[in-house]
Amino acid sequence: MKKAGWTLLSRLAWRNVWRHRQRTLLLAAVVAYAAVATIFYWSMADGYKLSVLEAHARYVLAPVTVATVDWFADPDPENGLDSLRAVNSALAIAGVDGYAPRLQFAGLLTSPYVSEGAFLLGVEPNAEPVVSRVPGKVSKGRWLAGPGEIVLGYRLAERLDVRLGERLVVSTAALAGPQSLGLQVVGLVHAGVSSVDASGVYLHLADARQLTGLNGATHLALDAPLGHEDAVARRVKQKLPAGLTAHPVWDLVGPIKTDVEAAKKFSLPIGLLLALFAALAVTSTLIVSVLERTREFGVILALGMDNPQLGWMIVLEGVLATGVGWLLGLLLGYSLIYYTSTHNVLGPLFQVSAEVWSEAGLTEEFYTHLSPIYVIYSLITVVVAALAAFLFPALRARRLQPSEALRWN
Amino acid sequence: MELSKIIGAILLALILGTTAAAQNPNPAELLHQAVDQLRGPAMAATYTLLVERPGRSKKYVLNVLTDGGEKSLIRVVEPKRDAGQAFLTIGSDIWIYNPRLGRVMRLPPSGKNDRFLGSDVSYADLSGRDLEEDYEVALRQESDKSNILVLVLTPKPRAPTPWGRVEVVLGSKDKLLRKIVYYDQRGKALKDVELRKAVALDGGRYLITDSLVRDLVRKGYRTTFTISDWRVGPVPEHCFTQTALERGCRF
Repeated sequence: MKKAGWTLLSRLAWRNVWRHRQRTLLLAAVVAYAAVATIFYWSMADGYKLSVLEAHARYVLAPVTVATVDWFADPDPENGLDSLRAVNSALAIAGVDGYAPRLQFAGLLTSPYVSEGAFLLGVEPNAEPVVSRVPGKVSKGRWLAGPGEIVLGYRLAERLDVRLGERLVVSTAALAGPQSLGLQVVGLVHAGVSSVDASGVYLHLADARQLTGLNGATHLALDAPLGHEDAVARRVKQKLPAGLTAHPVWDLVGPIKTDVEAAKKFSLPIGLLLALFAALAVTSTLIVSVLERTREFGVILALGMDNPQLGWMIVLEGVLATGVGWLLGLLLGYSLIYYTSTHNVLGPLFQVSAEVWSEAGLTEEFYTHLSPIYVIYSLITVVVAALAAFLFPALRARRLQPSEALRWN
Repeated sequence: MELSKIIGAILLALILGTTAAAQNPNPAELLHQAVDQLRGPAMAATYTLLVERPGRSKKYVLNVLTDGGEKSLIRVVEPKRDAGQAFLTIGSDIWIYNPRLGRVMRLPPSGKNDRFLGSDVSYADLSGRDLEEDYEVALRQESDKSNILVLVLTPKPRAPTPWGRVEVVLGSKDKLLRKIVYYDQRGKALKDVELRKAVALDGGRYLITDSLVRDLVRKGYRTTFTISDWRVGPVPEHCFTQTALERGCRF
């Protein structure tokens, strides 16, 4: 065999791939592992950001918040909206029909045993489910139905030692001066978002107005699909009267945004490091494989194949085995992230950080993100790994002498 | 309800009217009479506060000025470590002067559950509303031979009180307040206030001079208030200012 064509080389490589099944499976497994790790890693990184965003948009804040510029600077009822007429008209013009007025204020909760300061949220019980998932997360009792009622995060209720049906005193000092009301606890929320469960307090908008002396609301919570908050906020902003503005949730999460964006930036070098490790694993597997087959290569050279052809044959073998591994990795990786994006198996792992950093609004539920872009990420990782891996065996094949190779032990 | 009076009788610090009781007293009227006695006279007095805890106790001596209405000025005289600390109450607002910092601070809403000088009375208790405002009143029938009347107070809807029930014990003849027991919303008694000694003032009023607050949940937690050296008479308006809070007031 003096000059084998690419077809022949390909056939030889394909035959060798399946003739050395154990080696092939080992290489494919290593590549598959690298692909799975890459897919899972980026899916986790995106899932973390979306988890934080989702928790804040649907549990802690709102997808989009409309309020006065002054209120965003100093969220006190005195900077709230005394009338909602103008903003309602503006939202109608902007084509927004899913929104809910809210009245947020600081107050003191008093049970017979203990008192605790909290931020309270006055809401319209029927409008709130449009923008918030909290009403659907009442695990004991029910959501608000009218004035005179209050719903608490279950962990806050535990700290206050207050049960369903019992009265809780809410005190505050705002536009109306010092005011207090006794409200009946009708529901306990178990949202799975630590800041809601630990600090959530919801009362009827009418009670909030009575306590604070504000006739309207401090802000409006607007519905927006996840990931489209910026666009909705920009559209609404253009229609609002002077002095009012709209912010997407991501603008209002404060240091959490910085943290998540920093985590995203950190994930890039970590991802590259992951690719490097994958390359090392594939390279070492291929090197061992090539070294073990030195005598076989000597026979092939003795039969007439030249060194460059041998090198290409080894590369083709690597490409085929790597391709099999990558496809296997895609299958396994996407199966894994599909499962973890639909089942809360990772949430418990985040419990420790959620306990420590409850103000961050980290959710007890954590889902990975599904995106076709991970095919490209994993392909890049595998290609980088394969290029590094094929270099040594191919160079070695080019320098291999049949006589030396046949004596290789 | 101003601070000094509540301290003087612990929460309902003093009282008792001399109005003759009706043969079939109206419970709300009885409570109104009792609470009305809180409108004590303007006076200067020395209050002694003994805070007892298991295995230890601490005594405070306080100089108190009150206008008999919504204003009072309290200054800690003893112990030395706390001397100079002062409290100015005007209506439901409370200002605190800390001599170490040399600063006056207004008590925020979140601080109203703090215990007054570590005693069994909180600032929230001290600035609480009148019992008659927040509760429905019923008279519990005792035996004919009983020398007490028990008023059972249950919160009105939306009343800003965390208690499930309050029982007010009055003397059946003199209608003098003897005891107040606070229950949680599960029927468990959490705290009581016993008014142990009273002296008659001019005009048929009484001044409670010895009272005891007990934490019924934690054994050994109790606070005793005694009043001495009282001097009934008008107190100048300038004694209820932030300047007086920092520097004191002599008249």
